[in-house]
Amino acid sequence: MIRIEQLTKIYPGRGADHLALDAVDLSIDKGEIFGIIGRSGAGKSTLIRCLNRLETPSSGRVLVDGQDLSTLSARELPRMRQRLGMIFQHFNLLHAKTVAQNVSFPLRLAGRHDRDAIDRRVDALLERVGLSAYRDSYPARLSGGQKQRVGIARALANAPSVLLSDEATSALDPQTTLSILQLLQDINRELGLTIVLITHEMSVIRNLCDRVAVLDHGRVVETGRVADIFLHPQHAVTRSLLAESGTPDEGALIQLRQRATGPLLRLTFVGDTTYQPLLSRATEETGLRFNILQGSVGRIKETPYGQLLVEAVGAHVEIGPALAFFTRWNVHHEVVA
Amino acid sequence: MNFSDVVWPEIGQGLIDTLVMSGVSLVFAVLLGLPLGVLLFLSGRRQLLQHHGVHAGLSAVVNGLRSVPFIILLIVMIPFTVLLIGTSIGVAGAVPPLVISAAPFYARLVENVLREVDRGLFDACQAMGATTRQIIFGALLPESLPGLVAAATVTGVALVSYSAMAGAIGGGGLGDLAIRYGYQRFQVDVMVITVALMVVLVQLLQWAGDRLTLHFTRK
Repeated sequence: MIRIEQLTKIYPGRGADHLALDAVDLSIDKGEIFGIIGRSGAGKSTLIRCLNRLETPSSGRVLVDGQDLSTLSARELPRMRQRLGMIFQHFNLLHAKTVAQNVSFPLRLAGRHDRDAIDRRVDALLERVGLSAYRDSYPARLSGGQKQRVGIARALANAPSVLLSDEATSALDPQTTLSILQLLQDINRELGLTIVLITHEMSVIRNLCDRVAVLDHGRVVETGRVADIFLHPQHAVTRSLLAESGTPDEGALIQLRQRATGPLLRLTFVGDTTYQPLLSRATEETGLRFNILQGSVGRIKETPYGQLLVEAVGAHVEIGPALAFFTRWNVHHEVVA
Repeated sequence: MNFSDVVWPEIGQGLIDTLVMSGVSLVFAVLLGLPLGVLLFLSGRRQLLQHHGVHAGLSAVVNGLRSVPFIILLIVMIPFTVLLIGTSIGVAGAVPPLVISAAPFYARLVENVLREVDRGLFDACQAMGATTRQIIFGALLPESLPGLVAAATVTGVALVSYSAMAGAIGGGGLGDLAIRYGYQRFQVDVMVITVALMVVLVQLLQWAGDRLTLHFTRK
């Protein structure tokens, strides 16, 4: 669907040039929700703006359906952009236009003039985002969440195949964020729309995305399925982003390790195994008892997961059989030395 | 000062002349100044049609015209005014210098108004596939309409007072009366009446402008 090859963006500066994107390679599949996370200044905004050429790359290519964006002429570029809807952190609605006029604006830009057809399309879109009652209101009268719904309806007007989301929930409160994420997920399902979003919030990635790329200093440091990245982060930046979102961090682990007498195990349950009383069974089978020191249980998108840090306790701690037991039950385990 | 020598029909004619001079000049000043201001804005740094040469050139013209005192401009423009409309006196003769003075003033105000438009809107429009022309007419101008009206009001008020100055070279209008009767013939009553009329005129203009600005404001 979207291929990003060796994408590099350099902003010329007064003293030294600023390297915003450094040879980024990514491939985004049709119909998936792909998240890009990083701290401010990591280059994620530049990256998503390269996907519809709001920014022109210094080198490298962006291919949408095999079409290289940099080869498009001034006449072709607007047509391509109509296939890539975009929503923004600050909504960027036209204040002088009503909700309905905002949503119909991209239709008019695309050269559609049949008023009845436009009205029907606008009504359907407003119905979809739950704003039919606000058809003739001006954006100034709407709450943040409602404004973003208008933004979403507007982005969908020309039936794009991709939706680009530039920190779309960062200006919203947690409750509203969840409702917007739910809307995006519904749209992704119903329309088979590919969504590329950038965010600095791990919770957005966890609730919505199928795959994620972690960006740091303009480089992709880690990429993969969300569950894998969440449960087995490899890179320090990923770990620190997770720690900020409430996942146990390394500092606490050092303290726990000092107080523990037995070996420490990190167990990760995903999907069906979360429904099994596996620690009890392990005790029955191996005679070891387990002291839970740390843990998180929840959902990543739709998949339930649990991750526990346990201390094995017993008269003669022999950890081998326990490891074999967990392997048999498909529980990812790791001995924390 | 007993108001008995006041020639009221002349006052009435003066008022009409002032209204015509300011009104016609305002229309032309906006017609010339708006595109000039939009171009100034768009050619500026990091804007949609960024072009250093064009911006610097326009900016120099605008600054140049604005730095000539109006009373001097009136005199300097006499040959051009005659060439353009056949006379340099009367109401018609006052319009060209008024327009040449007010258009760059309005253009600079327009540029400032347009700079207040959130840049995010241009991102959104471009992302929707808008061409630059569509952005200008579909977003930039409608979004800044209240500011453009407010700027036109300021220009209109300036034109009322400049049109009085145009009386100095036989332009007609209230200013002309004030100079001929009030200054040259020491008729203080005429002076008082013309000044009072101008004050009322400016108040009305500002009030109407504010109402119109509010009417277009959606924020």
